[in-house]
Amino acid sequence: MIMFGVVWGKGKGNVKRLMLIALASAILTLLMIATPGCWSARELDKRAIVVAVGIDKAKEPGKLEVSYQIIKPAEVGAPRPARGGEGQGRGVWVLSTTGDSLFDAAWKMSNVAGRRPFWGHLRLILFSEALAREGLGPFLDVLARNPMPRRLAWLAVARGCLARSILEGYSELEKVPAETIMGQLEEYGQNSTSLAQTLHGFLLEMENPGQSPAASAVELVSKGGPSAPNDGESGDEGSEDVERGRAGAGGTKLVPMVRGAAVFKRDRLVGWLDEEETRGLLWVTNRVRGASIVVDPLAGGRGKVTLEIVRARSRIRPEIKGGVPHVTVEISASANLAEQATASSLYTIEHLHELERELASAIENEVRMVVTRAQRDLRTDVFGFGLTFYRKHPRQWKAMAETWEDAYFPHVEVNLDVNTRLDVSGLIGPALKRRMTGTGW
Amino acid sequence: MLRVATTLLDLLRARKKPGSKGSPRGRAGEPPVHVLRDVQANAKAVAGFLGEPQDLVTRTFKLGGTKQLECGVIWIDGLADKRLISRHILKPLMSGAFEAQADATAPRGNVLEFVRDCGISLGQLRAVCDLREVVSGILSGDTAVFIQTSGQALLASTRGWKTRDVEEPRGESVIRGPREGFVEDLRTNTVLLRRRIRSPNLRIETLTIGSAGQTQVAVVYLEGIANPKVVEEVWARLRRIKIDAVLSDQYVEELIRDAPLSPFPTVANTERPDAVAAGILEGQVAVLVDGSPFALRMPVTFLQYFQSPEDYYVNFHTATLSRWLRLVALLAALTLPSLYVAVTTFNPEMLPTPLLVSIAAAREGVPFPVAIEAFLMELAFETLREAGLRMPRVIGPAVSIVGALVLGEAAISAGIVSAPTVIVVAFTAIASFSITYPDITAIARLLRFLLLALSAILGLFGLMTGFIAVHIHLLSLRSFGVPYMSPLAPSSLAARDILMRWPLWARTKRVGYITWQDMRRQPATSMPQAPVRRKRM
Repeated sequence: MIMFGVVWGKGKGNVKRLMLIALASAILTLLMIATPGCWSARELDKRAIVVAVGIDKAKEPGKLEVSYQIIKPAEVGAPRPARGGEGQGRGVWVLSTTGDSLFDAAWKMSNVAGRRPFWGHLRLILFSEALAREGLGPFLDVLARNPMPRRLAWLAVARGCLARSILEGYSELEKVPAETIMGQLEEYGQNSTSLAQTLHGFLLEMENPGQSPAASAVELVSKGGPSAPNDGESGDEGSEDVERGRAGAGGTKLVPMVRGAAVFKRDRLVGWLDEEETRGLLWVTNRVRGASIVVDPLAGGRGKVTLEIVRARSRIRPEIKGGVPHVTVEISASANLAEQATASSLYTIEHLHELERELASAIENEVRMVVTRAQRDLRTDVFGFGLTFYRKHPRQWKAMAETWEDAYFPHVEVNLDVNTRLDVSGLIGPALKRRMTGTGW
Repeated sequence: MLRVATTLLDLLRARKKPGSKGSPRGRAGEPPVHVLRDVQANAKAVAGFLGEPQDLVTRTFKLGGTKQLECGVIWIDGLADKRLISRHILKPLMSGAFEAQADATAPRGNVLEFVRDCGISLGQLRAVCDLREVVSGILSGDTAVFIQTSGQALLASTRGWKTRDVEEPRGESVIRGPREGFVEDLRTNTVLLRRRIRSPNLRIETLTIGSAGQTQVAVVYLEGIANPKVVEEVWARLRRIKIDAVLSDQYVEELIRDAPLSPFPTVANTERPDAVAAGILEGQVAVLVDGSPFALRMPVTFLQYFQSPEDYYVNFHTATLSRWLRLVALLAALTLPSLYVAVTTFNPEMLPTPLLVSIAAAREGVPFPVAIEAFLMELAFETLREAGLRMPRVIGPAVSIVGALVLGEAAISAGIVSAPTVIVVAFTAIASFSITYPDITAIARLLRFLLLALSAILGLFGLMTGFIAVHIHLLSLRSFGVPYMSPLAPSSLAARDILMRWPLWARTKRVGYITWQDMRRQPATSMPQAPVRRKRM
């Protein structure tokens, strides 16, 4: 009021008045800007960057234990080696909170960490097998509802161990162990034997009519690969060491590995796919990016030929014949001849066609395997066959929609139309036959 | 007959631009003081006007064989060229041959005319009646010649003071291209322009500004190309200046520019005659101010500031690249610190994870918020820059080493500021120096702080708000009737010049938003071609 009095009352010249108005508005603007405060501003050193969360059942019944992999920036991004010479420390801190719901538990995190969690860079969401078997629906809600977690975060189920133990797993290469898992997921296309599923993809597949979702599967293996002694105790998944993610006997470190796929029915985990079955699934759903497939064309063990898939396309064609749903899966794949262990020359049209046929039957095998498994044992339509009917034959779909997975899907006749092509056989042409003495193995 | 016609023409012109022609007068409205018929009285009066200064030289002698007529020659030591005076005024007037002739031919009372016609061998010579005019002539280096019994004085142009040589312009040096820069002397500067544009249509019109300073100001344009309305407006605005003295071009700029409160320059300045010539050919009007080695150009548009004169001295591929670089540099100089602050404190999810982790690592243990940190570093840099300007050349490098290297490195290793902030501020500084014109660099600096404050408070939202406000302001500006953001808004085909420097043979027309007259620069067939191949014999 006083200000305006000054402005309008005693304005001597035009310029003076203008100056006063400018001053007044500047002060008012400053007040306006300064009073609301920095509502969502938070310094980076007051944020805890969560890269991965693991969700387990807590010991108390009805409660959740949520574990977080938080980046320790000072150790991960340090421009020069940290002083003290303690050697390379782990770049993350894994901590857990418990709560009645996912949100409830996560809300308590800053009490433990001393920093407000930042979910914008959450890249990996892990559920324990036990939770997944009971259904993920209740937990997915907050992940979809809350704006902070990205939908492009990977969604995986911990196979045979707690989600927390995966987060605590060891990584040889990365300071942030989650990055190894992420790398494995991103590089799935190298061999296409594991499924890389995002939260977004999972939600889509779950909500799609006529489809059940699949998630990535992560397990703990001994450092260096799956065929370590620990793996010998086959079937004994409940081994205490593995369960808790501790170092196995003899001090071997356990590292997380993405392998196979977790198959759901609606939101419940119903089973695991092994590597070949997973590739079968990927063949059907057009997600094979590359693979190495070994065929044995000259039957009789005279030598294996390894083919490298370089391009693969597939398409599901739904048909309804006489009221019965049929499905044709068209797969076309191009391959390079990558390696041959036989001394014979494969450099003839006949041999090349032979190889193509072998490749086609190998692909067919993989697909058959997984289709049979899904139809007979799991009874879940992870391929989205139903979805194609929903899209192509919406009217007939209405009748099938309710009972699709139990009444129709197991009996769908799946035809395979596999088309393969051998593109490149390498510049050396025939094998190094003069020097090759072995007969192949 | 011819003379009458010329005078009439002069009168007409003078009417069109009152005050533009004619001689510099004292304050308008003061009655003229007539030149007296007595030499001594005149000399005294002149000395009286000037307060009897020591550098006023009065030389009196007797004229004519009979030595009856007293003659006085008055000039200011240092302003007038002594050699010219002695060789072309004193020597002929005092020589015996002249005296004999004078006695023989000159009728009494008309000696002045005789002296003018046969005595003084100088190019510029005029007879004046008003003593004030004589004084102002003397003050600009002329020499006054009084002759007894004559009610007029002769003013001979003998200007010859010390001037700086034409040197390479300091602020706008180029690697390839002419290395001449304007100097403080107006006449030299107009010569620099005339030598580039020899067209008879090049108009150089002068007026005097400043009741005390009496500074010569020249308006230069190309008749037939410059928009006559713009020329008229420039004249009108120049005539409106009533300041006591104009000490540099900035005085004139501030007194005639559009949007006087805006930080954006609506009148451009340059110390390169070639840049001015290019502007004149594009239809701009140049204003040269005596005593200032800068020329003003108008009308100007914002995007012209990204077109360096060097663009046209290197091949168009390279020039196009530098044009892009300059645009990016401006964007960086304006927004980089604020973007950094906004993204790291408000929207860290926008950064790739490894980058975020690196920044977070550097931030660990830094005592200030990013915004304060960035602000402090900007402040430190500005201080360094300011210090570098004032510093004697000898210790300049020492200051930059201590300031930039030692201070920066020590601040980082002590953990007081984080390395990314220093990188951002340093890159911003470099980017701001890669903008061609210092005017724009200064604005970028100013707005940088504003945007930094906005983004520290409101994040990206604040940054965008500030950015949009600046744009709205830019769009509201005009320079002598030309919208400041032409040719973007209002958009025209000439906008193709912004992102590319087109080959010279493709520039067949003038840009079209500065002037509308005589648009054709060259025929459309200017692209060089190989001769048509002859048939092999």
